[in-house]
Amino acid sequence: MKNLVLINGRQFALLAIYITIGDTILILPAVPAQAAGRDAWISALLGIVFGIGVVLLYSTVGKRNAGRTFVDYAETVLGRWLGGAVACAFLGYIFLSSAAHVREIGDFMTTQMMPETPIHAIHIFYAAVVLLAVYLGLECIARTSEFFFPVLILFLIVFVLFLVPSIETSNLLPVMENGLGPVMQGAVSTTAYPFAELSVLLMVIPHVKNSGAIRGSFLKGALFGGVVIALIIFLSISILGQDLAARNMYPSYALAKKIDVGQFLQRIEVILAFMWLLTSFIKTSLYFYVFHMTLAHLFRLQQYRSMVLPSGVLLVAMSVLISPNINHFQQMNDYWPYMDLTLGVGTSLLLLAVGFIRGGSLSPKQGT
Amino acid sequence: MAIVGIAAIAACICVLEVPRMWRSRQWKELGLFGFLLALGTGISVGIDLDAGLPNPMDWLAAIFRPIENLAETTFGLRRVNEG
Amino acid sequence: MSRMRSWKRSSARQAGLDGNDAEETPRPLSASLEDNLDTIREVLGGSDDIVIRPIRLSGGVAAAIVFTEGLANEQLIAGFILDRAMSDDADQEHERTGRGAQEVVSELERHILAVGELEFLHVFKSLFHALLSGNTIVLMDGLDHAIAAGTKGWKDRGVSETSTESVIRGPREAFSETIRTNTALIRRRIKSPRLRLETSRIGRETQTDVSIMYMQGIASDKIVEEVRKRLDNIDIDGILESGYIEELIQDETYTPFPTVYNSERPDVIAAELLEGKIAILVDGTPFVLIVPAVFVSFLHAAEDYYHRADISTLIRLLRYVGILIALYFPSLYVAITTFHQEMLPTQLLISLAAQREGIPFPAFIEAIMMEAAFEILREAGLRMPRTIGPAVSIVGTLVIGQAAVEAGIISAAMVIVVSTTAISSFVFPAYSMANAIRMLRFPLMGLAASFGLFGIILGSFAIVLHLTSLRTFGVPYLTPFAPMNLGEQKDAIFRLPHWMMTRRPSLLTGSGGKRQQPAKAAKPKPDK
Repeated sequence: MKNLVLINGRQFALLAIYITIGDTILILPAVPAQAAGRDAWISALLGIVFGIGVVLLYSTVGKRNAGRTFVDYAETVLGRWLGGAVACAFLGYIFLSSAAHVREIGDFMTTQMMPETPIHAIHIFYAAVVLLAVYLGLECIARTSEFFFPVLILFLIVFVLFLVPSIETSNLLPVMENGLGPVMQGAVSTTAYPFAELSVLLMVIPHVKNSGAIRGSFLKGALFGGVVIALIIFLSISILGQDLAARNMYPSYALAKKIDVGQFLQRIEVILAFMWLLTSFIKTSLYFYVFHMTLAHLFRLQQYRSMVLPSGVLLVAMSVLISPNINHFQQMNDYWPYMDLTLGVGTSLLLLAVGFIRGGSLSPKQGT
Repeated sequence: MAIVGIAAIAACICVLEVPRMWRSRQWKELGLFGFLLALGTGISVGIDLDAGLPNPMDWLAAIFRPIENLAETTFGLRRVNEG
Repeated sequence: MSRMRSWKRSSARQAGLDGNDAEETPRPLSASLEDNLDTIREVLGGSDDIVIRPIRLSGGVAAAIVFTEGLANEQLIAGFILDRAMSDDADQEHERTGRGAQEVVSELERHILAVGELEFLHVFKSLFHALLSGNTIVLMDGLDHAIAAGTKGWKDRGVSETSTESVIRGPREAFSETIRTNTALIRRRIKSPRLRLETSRIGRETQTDVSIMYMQGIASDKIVEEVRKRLDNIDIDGILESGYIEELIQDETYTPFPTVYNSERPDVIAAELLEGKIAILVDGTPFVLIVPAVFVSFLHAAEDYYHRADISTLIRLLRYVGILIALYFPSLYVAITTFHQEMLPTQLLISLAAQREGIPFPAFIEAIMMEAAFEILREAGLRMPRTIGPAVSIVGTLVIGQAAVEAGIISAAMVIVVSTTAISSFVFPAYSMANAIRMLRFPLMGLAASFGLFGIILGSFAIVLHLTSLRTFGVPYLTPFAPMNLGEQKDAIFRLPHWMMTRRPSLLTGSGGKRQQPAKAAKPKPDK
């Protein structure tokens, strides 16, 4: 299958990083903090371990379908109807994910930075830029992520560096007071949000130039992102303490507010906002782009670009619809990880299993 | 008032995209385009009018909360701070 | 002697004798001298500056020379054509009797017409073109073609100093309006036989000479072919400036960012040619185009390579900072004072608040007014007579600004912001890029006023997305940032010493060959 859009291995790894960090950098620390208390950082580490497994699973699927997108592969393995059902489920999942991401930005902005601005306006504006990214295509998204990556690294380093003096290890003790249960509970979200959500990259794999290097790039990117997230969670617990970390909706933002260097470098939480906007934006754009790819595949469209504007309207509408207020939205943290896991890990396992039963070895197949 | 805005935007989108699809005879795309636009516009209007539209998150919750409960009881997971 | 070589053009446009598309085939000259002269007089409508001088060659052959007064060098004509054509009958007349026209022609060509360039013309279209370019046409009775003798010579500005791109260190020569002078200036700097020159004529009425120059083997053949193709596709009444060509061949039409670089300086053009780019020279303008041009090309100045590496690197970094200031400063001011006051240190916040106390307008309106005023002053300053111009644009802004502050219409901080922005925008070596930044500032201000920093950040994303979607002749616009090419970073933001830059830019050249000896060999070492 001839692909006109090509990205290289390094861009693929960068996209993995952006998805892993994505919105998790802001939203995630609160979730395992609620579940595991001060052991949330252990949950994060466990998350990385499981996450590696997830990534290996994904890259196996990716290698196997060599040249086809995830949904295409699903149809091949499961047949037209069952595969189509899986594709539809995937479609809905990605769309709701995108809407949820937009909503997260809207909630953050209206609660933390610009309370007087109506949330619809923020959604429309944000969605407009995302639509531009989707319209311009994968290459542009990848190149933009490459362009901003040094800035991201710089801000991350500044962020971490300025926070290190405030670490209080006493906040971490005693360790594992409540046993493994809560830690595992926390690990569910720390695996799902950064890593299981990488499933969208399975749709992008056919566009990678050097398909042999996929596993390497995938792992490198996911690992890098995972470490960053673990670091943020660690900092949240050790600086804010488990209580604040759990109660605050945006613990890392609270962390940023705490930065105080000398007398002038205060209140620079805007830097974190930039980081988070960047990663979230790339993630949302990728998600929405994959939505269109899936749509184009399901309906055998010739081109997806015309769909961008109407789906944009639908996206904005949905992002407002999905939750009448913030509390309602927060509840999704209970079951959303399971959706990620089911639709990402679950479908991958399903496809591999059925493919194995039907066709033999686990090595990459050409054609069929 | 907002409905006028929504309608205006929908009209603009039509003007921008439909000619292209019409000229290249992409009927399938046009159909999907119309469907998506109608759906989006409809939901937007519904939200504006407080029409009590169903919330997809509720559907997701219905599907996945049982799974969540299953997983938690199976693996003995629990939370330190409830909710 | 460099011959001009035209490449193929579509025959549909090789129409008639006066460019009239109604005539499909070019009209050939007739053998009768009088007929030809009549045609010439008729088509040119008896224009006063066309001189037709009948002469009699040895052997009694009737002939005439035609030239354009003002375009042709009359000394050359008098000395080398008329003189020779008319004066050698005494000795050789007895040898010439009974000779056919053909032999007289070859006699003319070999012995008599003592000019460097000679061309034979068979159709009127070429005759008129040659005539109106300054050549002298020699017509003979009984001959069905004409001879064009190269006698171009008109008043030219000459090689003078550049006014728009001055440097502290480096050559001061600038191109002039005559294309042959310009190609010579480039040849002076690159004496390699690999430097190729191809010319064509573009513009139905203006028949402007447009040349491309490139280094064979360094420039990518694909890109050269693409340039030829795009120039061939141009179908327009007239080309008066290279800007016309730029617009007609550029990749993207809907972007404020320039994708074609232009310069007045031969050394800049020569440097770009050595990197594998292609130069497009247009007769009638000293501004030469360079293709393909990526984003970083517009931020490089010629001087960077003449000064030492360390200062050049710093100045380049300064330029990048300058862009950021020119683009973001007003927007940041509006955003922070409207939405994010908590970001400022308390002292600054108090003084800003005090300043803004009596101002009737919100920060955004203030900013727009000041920026608009400044842009007006700037444009006006360009058109004013030399003596008043600079005074008005700079002092004017400050004086008007000061008066406005005292009248309580705008705050002093705003004047500072706008002036700093304006001065930063002059940091760009390339005017076309500065224009793009100027244009982008205003939407960013609008976004800042509506959505604060969120708006600025997302606006920046949109700008970068747009930049990443641009390609110039197939080369991505943001090379070498994205796709990231570490090897070429040596010359993008930094300017590493010459002995470190050993490779040519890979996306621009066909082969990406090494430019010079590797570092070990070339780095100068002090004597022990």
